[in-house]
Amino acid sequence: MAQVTVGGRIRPSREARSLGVLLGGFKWIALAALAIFILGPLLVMTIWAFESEWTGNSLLPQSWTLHWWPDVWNLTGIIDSIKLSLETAAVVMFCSTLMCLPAAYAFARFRFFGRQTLLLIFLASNAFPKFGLYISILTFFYQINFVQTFQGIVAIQMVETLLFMIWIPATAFQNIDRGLEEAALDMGCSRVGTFLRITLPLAAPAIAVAMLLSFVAALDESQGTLIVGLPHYKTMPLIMYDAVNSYAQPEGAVFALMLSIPSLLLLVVAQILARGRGVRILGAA
Amino acid sequence: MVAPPVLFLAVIIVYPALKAIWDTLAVQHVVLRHGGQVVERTLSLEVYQEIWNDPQARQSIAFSLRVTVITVLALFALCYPVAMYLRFTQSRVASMFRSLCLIPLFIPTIISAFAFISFYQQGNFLDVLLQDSHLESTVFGGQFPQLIDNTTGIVLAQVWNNIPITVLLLGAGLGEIDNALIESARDIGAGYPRIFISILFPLTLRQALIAFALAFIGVLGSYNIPDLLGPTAPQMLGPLMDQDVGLQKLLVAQGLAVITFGFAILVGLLYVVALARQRRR
Repeated sequence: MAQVTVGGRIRPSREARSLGVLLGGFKWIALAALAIFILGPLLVMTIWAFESEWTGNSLLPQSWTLHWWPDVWNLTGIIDSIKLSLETAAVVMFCSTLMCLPAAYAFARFRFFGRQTLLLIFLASNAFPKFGLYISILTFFYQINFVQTFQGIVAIQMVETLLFMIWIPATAFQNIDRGLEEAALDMGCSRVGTFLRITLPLAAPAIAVAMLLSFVAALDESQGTLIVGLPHYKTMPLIMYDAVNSYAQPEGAVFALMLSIPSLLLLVVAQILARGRGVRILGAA
Repeated sequence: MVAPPVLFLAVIIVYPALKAIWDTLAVQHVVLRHGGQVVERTLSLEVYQEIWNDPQARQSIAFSLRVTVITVLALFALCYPVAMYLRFTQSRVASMFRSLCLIPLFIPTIISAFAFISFYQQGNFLDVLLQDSHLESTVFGGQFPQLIDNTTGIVLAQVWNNIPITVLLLGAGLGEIDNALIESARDIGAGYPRIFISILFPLTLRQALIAFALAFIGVLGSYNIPDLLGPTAPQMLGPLMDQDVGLQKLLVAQGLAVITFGFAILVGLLYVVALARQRRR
């Protein structure tokens, strides 16, 4: 019985109350376990980046150090990989933006034939098994001599960025109050002027987030670059493959943290930009 | 205005995929014709027969499916309760957990693989934590199990990486359900399991199916995690395809890629059918 009547009032029975306490206690254990599951690996990896001596059966290192951080720079190929990663990511970001912004505007504002279908195809291409797709792209790249070329790497990294470089700006353009644009037109502003002075500034935060997202996505892209770029072109994620297999664990940890910085920066910037507009990206109910 | 990305999509993504299907079904052969060598295409299933006859490839497909199914089951077993907790609890702890669940979204998969090794590898943190503990002697028989280079490692890491999307999707679905619906069910005496089966699950089916499709296709065709955390044999499809490319067996690799496409299309069909059946009711 979940409920008993005691003196005219309905109260939870003893069984129900003890069940409630048991479930309550279990809930906290479960949440703690989830926190450990999600954060544990990241925290331990971070500790590795600062360990100086960590032997045997101790949970934490015996001594700490910062010397791994400058040490990492001396590893072969690190500086080149960082340069290459930044170059490709920047090129990808610019090409993606140039290519997709007009399309995003069109998707948001115009009702043209095949609009829904095209959006669906873009969505579907992102849901498709990525690695299989990269293999088929690799075969095509062999034909057009894109393998182990800068343009090949840029092209394959752009596959990642396409969807949200259209989706996010399109949503931003859609959400702009037309009334503001019409007011500007009424006051004699040209269409181009209205776009430059009203539409673009209002959509700018979302576009900035999308550009940052594509920069980070290109920077972190590993699988496509692996099969198209190796062995000649090594970006930072590809060094990471080596790090897992052959580097000393602290060096790998330092490099991993370095590679995570852009993503975490993106997270912070996105939160700031979004909060500035009164919109929340994380923690939305 | 829409032309540039559509062109890119068509040329760089759609065309190679279609070409892979065509190349593996209409195989090119060098043939002698009229006193010279000519490249001809013959329609045949020989690429797929070769894959089928190769025990390593067959094992890889079976293994990939097995790992994917286990991962998806574990993922939903974890994320449905978490999503429900986040939906029905309004507290600061709950919002902290909501942000916690989104962390894996911002960590690249290779880094997550490396982090997993530093945590779960024999001799590393978790091993040391549990050493000589009651848990280790009763559950693991006195020795920390090998989780890396093992199916378990893949499943754990894949679940970890898929938590954000799954929790977000399920949370969105649960968010659409009116509290009043659940309260009236409680009023007539329905217990929590009944509420889940009869109300929550059917009403979140669309989001659950999307989450299922994304997780299934994602894990089946993955490369990073199986390569870094998985066993050397059998391999999942991703590492196997990479290996075949390295061995210059491009056509076989393409065939395997087409097989992953096939599974993706099947899952897509499942989504469409399940949704249509639900709408008809």
